[in-house]
Amino acid sequence: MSTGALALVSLLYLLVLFAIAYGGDRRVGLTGRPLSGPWIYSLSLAVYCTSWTFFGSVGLASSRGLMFLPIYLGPTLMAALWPMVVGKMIRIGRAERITSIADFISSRYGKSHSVGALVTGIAIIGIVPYISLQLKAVSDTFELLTHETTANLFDTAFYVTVILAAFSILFGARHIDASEHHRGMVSAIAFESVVKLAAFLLVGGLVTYSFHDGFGDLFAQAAARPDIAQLFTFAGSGDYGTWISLTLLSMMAIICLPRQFQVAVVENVDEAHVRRAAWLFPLYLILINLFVLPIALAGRLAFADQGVDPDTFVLALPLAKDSAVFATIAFLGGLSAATGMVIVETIALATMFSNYIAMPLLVRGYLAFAPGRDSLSGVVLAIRRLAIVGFLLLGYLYARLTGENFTLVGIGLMSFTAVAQFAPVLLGGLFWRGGSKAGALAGLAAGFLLWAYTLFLPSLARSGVLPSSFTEWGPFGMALLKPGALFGLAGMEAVPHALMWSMIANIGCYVLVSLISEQSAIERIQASQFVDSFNAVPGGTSQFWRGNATISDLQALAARFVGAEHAEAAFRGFSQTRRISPNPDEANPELVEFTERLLAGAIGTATARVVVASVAKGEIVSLHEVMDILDENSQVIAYSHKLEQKSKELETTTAELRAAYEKLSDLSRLKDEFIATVTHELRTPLTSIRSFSEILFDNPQVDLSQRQEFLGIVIKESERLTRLINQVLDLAKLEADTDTWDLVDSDLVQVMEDAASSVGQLFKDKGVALDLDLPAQPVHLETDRDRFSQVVINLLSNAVKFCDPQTGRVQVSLRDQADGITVSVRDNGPGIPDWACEKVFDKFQQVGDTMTSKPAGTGLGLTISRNIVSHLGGRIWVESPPGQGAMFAFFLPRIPSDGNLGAGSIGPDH
Amino acid sequence: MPHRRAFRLRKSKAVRDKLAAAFLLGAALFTPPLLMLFMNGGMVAGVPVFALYVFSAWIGLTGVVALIAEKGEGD
Repeated sequence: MSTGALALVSLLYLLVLFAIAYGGDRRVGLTGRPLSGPWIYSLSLAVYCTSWTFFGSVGLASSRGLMFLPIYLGPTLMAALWPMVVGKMIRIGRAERITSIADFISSRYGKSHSVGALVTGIAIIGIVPYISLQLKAVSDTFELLTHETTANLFDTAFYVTVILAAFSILFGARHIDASEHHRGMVSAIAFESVVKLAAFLLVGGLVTYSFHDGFGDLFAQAAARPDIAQLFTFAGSGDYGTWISLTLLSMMAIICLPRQFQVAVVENVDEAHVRRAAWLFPLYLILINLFVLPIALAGRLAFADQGVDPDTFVLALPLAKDSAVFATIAFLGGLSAATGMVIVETIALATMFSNYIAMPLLVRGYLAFAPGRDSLSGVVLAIRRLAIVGFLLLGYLYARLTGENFTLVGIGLMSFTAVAQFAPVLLGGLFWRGGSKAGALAGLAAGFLLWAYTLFLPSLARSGVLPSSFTEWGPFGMALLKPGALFGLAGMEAVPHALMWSMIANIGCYVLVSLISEQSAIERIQASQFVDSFNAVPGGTSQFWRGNATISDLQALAARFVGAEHAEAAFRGFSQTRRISPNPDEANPELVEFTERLLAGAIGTATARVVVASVAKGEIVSLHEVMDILDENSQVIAYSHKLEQKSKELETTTAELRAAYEKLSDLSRLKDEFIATVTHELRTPLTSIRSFSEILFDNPQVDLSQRQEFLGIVIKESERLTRLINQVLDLAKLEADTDTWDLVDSDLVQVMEDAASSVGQLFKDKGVALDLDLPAQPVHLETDRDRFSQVVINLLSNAVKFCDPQTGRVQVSLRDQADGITVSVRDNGPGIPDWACEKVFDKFQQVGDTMTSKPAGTGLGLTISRNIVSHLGGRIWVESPPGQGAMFAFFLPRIPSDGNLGAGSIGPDH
Repeated sequence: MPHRRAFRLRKSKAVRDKLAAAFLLGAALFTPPLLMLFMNGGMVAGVPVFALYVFSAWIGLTGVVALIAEKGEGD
């Protein structure tokens, strides 16, 4: 086949592809609805199957049998977990406007630039060989088909590179789309997946059923050859280890490859598609692998020892039978597999590169030196285009350097191991809140370094770029550090060996450093946003932000990166859906957040954050601040609580004090009154004694009878004075409670009879009758006999004082009850008015007109009686029905209660 | 209606659990103890036993996942 014809067919194919992509983009522009659905989504995921699958699997199968399968079984297993893992990533990706896997990981670890840059770096170094693999496959098959080999500087691979670069730019970097969806590209990728599957099935069918007589015939022929029959089983236990590690590796790769992340997460339009893809994608993998073993066996049978590269069997078999059509179909299948991968991968890498390596530098310089008006969207686009060209050129360079030293699968597995380093931080970040930025950096760096040492450097050494001595003998002859058998771990294949060591270092460092390092506020917020995405906070991080910015500033900023038209439309849409803030030009945190996400689509989350922060002069409330505020608040609350308590205590104390003061001032007033009264009472008899004594002293001639009369008055007044002083002393003693009380069992009947007889003379003098109404049996009570009789005598002398002479009558009675005794003294005197009933027991209160009649007592008798009674635990009272005289009575309990004994000793009760 | 939504959530959770179980089934099918059973180098119906087993298990597993995913989709 001529070079020109094949080149024309290839170009035509690529143009058809572009037409599909363009149509897809236009469809979005016209109808607003992309051509999408679970089928398109599942087919676009099949970008996983590259020329490695198309050519390399057959190559591997022809030497290792079914060992090519773990690379597809891993994704099949992972697909069952997609609704959980990828579904969650899609939800987060949509909320945070994630545009690449670097974006995702960086965003998870606190929108960190360094994490994003490290992921980007690993991805570029890891993936460039993979891209070169595609270029090599396309150019090799092209040369095989045209029987031409150009050995000059610009070989076939170079033209392939240039053409693929042009198409990648056309597909993925024609313009900046704020949403970062490439609907057209996805349609084209889905179409390519159909083409490569159909091509492989056609070639497989041709080989199996045309060149051979079906599966049975092919396997029978192979089984007849012992060297081929050994492909049907594993050689030894080492193969099982390789099988398991390749399965694990591909499980990680299917979610960590930048192109898989691009189609599975970034380009996803409906989360429900994931569920159908969970079985459609494995089905695709089964179909495309169905004929791998038959083609490999047919190749081994046909080209035994002819030096044909097993990686080209798919093409070589139809060629050998002169079937140019099928050879072209095979070539186109391989081309579609390669272009699909290159386009998506370079676009993903270019986005990551522009967001995490170019833009941060540019933005820093731009903000620092030239805060001009020019739009930056053109710059972003230029960076992406240059990056695409750069990656393809790097791939070309790698292909030139490594030359023919590698199989397709070898290079592919090396790239897989590199991107597998993302798995711990990615999955850990999704399900483990504790994963920190420092841990992610440590894990990624450690895993990457070990990958480079055990896999990447040896690959360069084998191709002659580096001296090969260090792979054979170890660096500086240290066999323990041999890259292929690190720490003496020999006997493993290179990829499982590298995977094991890098994963131990990666996971170990990630977990360890995460555990010992502390997360910043933004890391914590992002961690909880990612881990709890099922019930994400509606306000996003905006609720943790405080600061101020103007709407016009934000819009101008957005316009610089995504274009004025886009920015205006987005802001208009925002203000229509949200309520407008009262101050028309003041942006609320929600709008700041919105701007950040809008920019994130174009320049990545971390850069967007820095850029927006330059306008929105505010900052996230740090955790420490929050804690400080909380601390302060709780302290204030505790303090005010204490104050409240104190003031309550004070209040009660004040009330108590006030009561005590009132009581004290009352008492003091009473004392004053008492003293005044006593003084007054003492002065009356003293005055009369003095004046009569003076009369007698000044007039010696007073006759005897007069003298006798005057001296009689002096004696009587002196007696009265003595009595008064005695009673005051008595009362003072009672009140001060200094007297000893002699409580003995006494017969009250006897005591009362004695008392009555002692006042009998008084009654006889006045002619007042005294009736004693006493029980016949003795009444026993534990009491102070003298005090008791003093009370009775007091009451009796009081009664006789108020009775009319001759007609007066006093009745005394003693009642013996269960709980105590009651003594009552009734007279038939004038009685006591109601208002005075309470006062008669007060000191010096004498009922009756003190102005006209001379007081008949000291006025202390009843007070003393009340003190004695209350001291004995009883009570005293007076009843005076009008016109029936007065009845004084007191009650003494049989068992004096402890509280009352001795109580009420200070002054009168109120 | 909240209770219907809760019901749907529970349903989707049940689907997820079943898919996780399918994952475990697949992991068991494609790891050595079971693989070794079919590593005897024999042929069945003209096809190597090992290849036949792996592809049958693969198709079977995909079928199970399809059943789970599509049955859940109906609600």
